[in-house]
Amino acid sequence: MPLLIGLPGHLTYDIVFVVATLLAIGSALGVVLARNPFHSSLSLILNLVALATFYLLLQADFLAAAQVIVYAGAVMIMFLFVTAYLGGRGGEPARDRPWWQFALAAIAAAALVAEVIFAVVDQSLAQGPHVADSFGSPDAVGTSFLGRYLLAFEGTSILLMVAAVGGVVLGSRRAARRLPGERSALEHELAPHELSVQSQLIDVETRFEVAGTAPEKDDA
Amino acid sequence: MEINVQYFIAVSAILFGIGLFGIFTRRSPLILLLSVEIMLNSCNLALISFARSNGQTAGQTFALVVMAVAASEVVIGLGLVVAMARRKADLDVDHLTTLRH
Amino acid sequence: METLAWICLFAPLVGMAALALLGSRPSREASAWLGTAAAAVAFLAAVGVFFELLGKDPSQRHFAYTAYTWAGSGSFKVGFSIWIDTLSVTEMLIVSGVGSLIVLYSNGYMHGDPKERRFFAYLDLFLFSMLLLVMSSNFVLLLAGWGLVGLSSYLLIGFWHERKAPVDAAKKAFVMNAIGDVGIAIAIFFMVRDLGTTDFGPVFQTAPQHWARGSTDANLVALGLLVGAIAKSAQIPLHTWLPDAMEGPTPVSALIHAATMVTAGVYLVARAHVLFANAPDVLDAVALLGAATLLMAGCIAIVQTDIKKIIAYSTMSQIGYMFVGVGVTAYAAGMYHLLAHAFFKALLFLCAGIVIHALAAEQDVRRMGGLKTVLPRTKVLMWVGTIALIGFFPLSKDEILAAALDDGSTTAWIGWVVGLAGAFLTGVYAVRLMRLTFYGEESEFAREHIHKEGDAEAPWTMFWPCVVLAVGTVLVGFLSVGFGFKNIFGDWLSSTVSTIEPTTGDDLITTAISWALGAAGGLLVWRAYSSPERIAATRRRFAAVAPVAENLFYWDWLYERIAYRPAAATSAFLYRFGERWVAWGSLDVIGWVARALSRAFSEVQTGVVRLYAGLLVVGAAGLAVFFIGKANL
Repeated sequence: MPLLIGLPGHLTYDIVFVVATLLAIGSALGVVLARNPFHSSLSLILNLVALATFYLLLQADFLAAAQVIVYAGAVMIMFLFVTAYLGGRGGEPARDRPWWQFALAAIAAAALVAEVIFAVVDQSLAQGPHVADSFGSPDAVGTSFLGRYLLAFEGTSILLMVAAVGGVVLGSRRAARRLPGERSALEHELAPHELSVQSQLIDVETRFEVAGTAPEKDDA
Repeated sequence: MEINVQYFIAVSAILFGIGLFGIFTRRSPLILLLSVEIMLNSCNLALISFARSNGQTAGQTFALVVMAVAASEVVIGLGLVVAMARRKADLDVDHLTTLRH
Repeated sequence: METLAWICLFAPLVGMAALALLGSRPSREASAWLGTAAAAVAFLAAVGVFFELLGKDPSQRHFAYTAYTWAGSGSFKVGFSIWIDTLSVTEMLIVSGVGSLIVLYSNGYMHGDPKERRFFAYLDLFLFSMLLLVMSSNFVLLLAGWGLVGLSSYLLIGFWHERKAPVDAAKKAFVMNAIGDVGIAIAIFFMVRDLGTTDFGPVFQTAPQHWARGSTDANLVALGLLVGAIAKSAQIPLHTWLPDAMEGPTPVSALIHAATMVTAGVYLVARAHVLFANAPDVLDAVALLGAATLLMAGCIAIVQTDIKKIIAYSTMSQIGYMFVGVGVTAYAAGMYHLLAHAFFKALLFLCAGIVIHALAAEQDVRRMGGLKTVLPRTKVLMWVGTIALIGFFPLSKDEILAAALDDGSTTAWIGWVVGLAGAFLTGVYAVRLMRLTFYGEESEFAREHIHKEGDAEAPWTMFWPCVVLAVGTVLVGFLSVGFGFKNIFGDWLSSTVSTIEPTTGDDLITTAISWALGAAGGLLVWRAYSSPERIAATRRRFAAVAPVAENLFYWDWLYERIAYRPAAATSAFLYRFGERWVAWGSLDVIGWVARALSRAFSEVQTGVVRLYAGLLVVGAAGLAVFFIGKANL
């Protein structure tokens, strides 16, 4: 199979592609296999940058920029903050599993990958059309987003608002002080069972602290 | 310029597989979220590749939406992780099973 | 005439429905009178039909009326239709006449019983069923009446259902009658298949053409009808239910098991005489079975100690005579004995009921004795019945035997000889009954327990029906005296069935011998009970053979072993394995499977995120393979 563009002189393109591929795959493996969560987060940043390179190769200029600014810039910063907050608790060794779980996971992933590649190979994706230079410009994306896909735009903004509210709710501390022994409405609903960890998280008005050990495994 | 996007799709698939492998293998919710990020990004790559191969901007638009979704999901996920950590719960996905009811 | 016929049929049914719907609202006496009125209306309607039929020319005396088509399939139709001819009108009169008297009697006998209203409803149901049986104009409707009569018998025998014995007796009667129902059904199947109809007229016309005389088909049809007749009329081998049926109240024994239902078999043979004539071997079997039964029943009656069982075996014996009569094609003779027997047997039962009623429900003759002083009028009435039973007057029995002698075939000869022997036995047991009950020393028991209503021996509702029956017995005797006198009854029936008119010589010989034997039997038994030494001597003389009769010729013993025990064992086995394991077990298995499946499926919900992710991937991979494969192939 010839490389991306059969025309000579575009060797740079191919080299950039190969390098970016190696970086992306390597950093992805680094995310998944690293022991230290910090290393995982940094690997992901590298992965995002590699992907931004891919976007550039595909003439999605705006998206490449957005990827770097939003993803690598904002999202990963969040990850790094949380990793810092968690300290050592963020990660755990990937190796104290039975070996066959690794094998199984690898096989499943490989199977999926193989399928997709099989599906894609020798298809008519071969020769993409000519596109204008302004194909991936902010102008084009903006026109599409605010024109044809306006509904998606509005939906996305709502989603972002919901996420923001959720983040605030999840992050806040106890709102009101309660008398010792008094239970909140949620607690009453969930009585007499012990509150699950998740419900404890959601109910921000409880006073009591969960013990340091893991909650009982609920084997109902 | 004409571009053969098969290879991009292949890379996307491989990245997706790596993310999947990470989900199966890691126990920490934080690393799990990172793996999910990898998978989302691979989907983005696929979208943009197809946008290029069809000559339409719609794929890029959708990729933008996916990015927004990924960001929101990360916010919530990290919020959960932090809250769990604050309450000193064990950050082990295998032990956090009570959401099945 | 049509209206009157329908009224006769449905009046008892209306009575029963009224009693059932009114429930316990009317007083018990009112319900009893309502039941009696329904029966009386039926009788009056029957009388009306009789006179109308009388007014017609003898060759015109048959009518069929159809209410509507009851059932049908393709070209085969069964109509709800009735058939009025001399034979059916005779039966109508017997059933409604004797029936009304017995219903009237029940007013007195069942007085005070807590379930009295139900009794009268059942009696009316029986009258309707029996009338349906004798009035129906096709075999299917006859079978319907047949079955309903069996049901009424079951309900009435088991009337006092709080006790075990009546319930067992009712079940026994019903099951044995069911065997007879199957026989008739098989005969009907043959008719439907070969003749395409079960209506009397067409069947009797086309049967001889379709089934050759003496062929297997003809024999099977007649045999099926014979099985039904045997079961209903309590002849060998389906006879063991009749003595047990005495557990029912005495009016029931009188009405159903003496006068009407048990004679349905004789009616069936007379009605279907064409089919039986078409199968002469089966007709011979009818006569021979009748002969065997009359002999066996006579022997057993001699050793019975229950007053009602003596009369029951006597019934069995007399029906044997009727079977002999119709078996030698002397149909009118057989029907005449049926008519006379209805009167005098009902009379005997009702008088026995008066005795029982006076002794506060005691039925053992060994505890009776010397009742002639306290129940003189009952004694006279009962003597009328006894004289008729032995055969002095009416001469119905002799007519049968004379006809047999006249017929001359081997079977008829056997019937003649056995019949005369039976006359001796009849004399013995009939006079024995009277001797033990009314004569001799007054027993202690009788002295203590007698209770009369003032001077009367019984309430008027019980006494006067007996008087009417006694008078009727005597009058019926004049309908056919033989010896060359005009046979009124035979002429009346001749438009429907033929008969054998014996010569005067045969008649004289037969009557002389039978009178002599009957009188001899009576005198012998009278003497045997005249002193304790004679009683002991008699007992010694018959010590060897008496147990056979006392054990009812071991029929019950046999049936217990070959029929009851295998059936009980089979049903117990099926219950243990079929019912418990298959029926209940399969339900249990269904429940268990459902629970196991749900348990297995709920294992998936572990709450572990990665498991869910894994399952998602597996599913996605499967779908991808499917669709990509489809696209590529």
